[in-house]
Amino acid sequence: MIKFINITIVLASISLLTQCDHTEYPSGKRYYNAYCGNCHMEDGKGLSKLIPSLEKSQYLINQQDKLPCIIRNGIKSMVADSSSELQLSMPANVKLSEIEILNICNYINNSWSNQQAQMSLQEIKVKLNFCD
Amino acid sequence: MNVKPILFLLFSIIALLSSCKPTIQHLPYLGSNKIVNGEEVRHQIRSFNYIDQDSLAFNADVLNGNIYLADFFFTSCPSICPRVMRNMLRVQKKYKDIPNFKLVSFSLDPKRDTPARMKKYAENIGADLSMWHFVHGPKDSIMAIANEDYYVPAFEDPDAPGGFDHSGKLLLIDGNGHLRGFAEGTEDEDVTEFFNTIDALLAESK
Repeated sequence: MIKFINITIVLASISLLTQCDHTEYPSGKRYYNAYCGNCHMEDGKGLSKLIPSLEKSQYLINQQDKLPCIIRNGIKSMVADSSSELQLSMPANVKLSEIEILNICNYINNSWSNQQAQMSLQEIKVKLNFCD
Repeated sequence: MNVKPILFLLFSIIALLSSCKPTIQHLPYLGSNKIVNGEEVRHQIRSFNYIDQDSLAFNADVLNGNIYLADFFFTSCPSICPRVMRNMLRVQKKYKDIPNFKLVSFSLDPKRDTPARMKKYAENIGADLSMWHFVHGPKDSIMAIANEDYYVPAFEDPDAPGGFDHSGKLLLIDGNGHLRGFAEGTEDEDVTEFFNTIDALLAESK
């Protein structure tokens, strides 16, 4: 009985340890860290009010249809403040392929306690056809 | 001869020595010394006359006697600045109650970074402007102190993201304008270790 408990504890610790760095989207994580991580940071938390957090972001949830376009084309003149002194924009990443965008979307949507439906390549292609 | 008392004495001495508080590490003076009028003088940040985010004078008088951490940035910097600023915010949080400790961010892009724009930026990242100054000065002068005094490589480069190439170093300066330590502001772990360096300088100046 004690042996069984011991084995259970060992297995539980191993699974806990390995879980920490686990993502179902390793490619997405790589592209995200390379193209988005400088500003939104590896933990998705961004920088205070200047760079919005992607973690549990209502904006992210609301903009699911536009997400592929936002990643590719950025956001122009997003006003962080009512004053015009500081107009913020998110830079475009026009070189990203549809597959890279797909990977980034799925990684962002399912990391840092975000839970959004997984997107398919077909969906990404359709959404990219309707960019502003 | 009975060795027991000697052994006991030896162990007591070892125990005593090891229980002592570690002596405060004296930080080195960084930078190359200069010869002025035949005398060797330590590398020192030159005096300057700039303005801050409130358009108030920002010069040696404001900093004199303060330990401060400097970095170089610009508000539209898309590459390393957000990461460096996040680490500056960690430093702000840790040392916010220490009097005579300041944070100083010099803008490399004075053309776009007006004091008002820097103030908005500062407010948006959550900077405590009672301890943190955002500095505006002539571009050539800022570039010169970056490269020559703070040893931060910085230059204009149309091909670089945002138009400037620079390093994200954090520089620790003592109350007399001497450079005493530095860390890579983009590396979280380096900054965590840097807290020890800051602590050592604060202890030294007590």
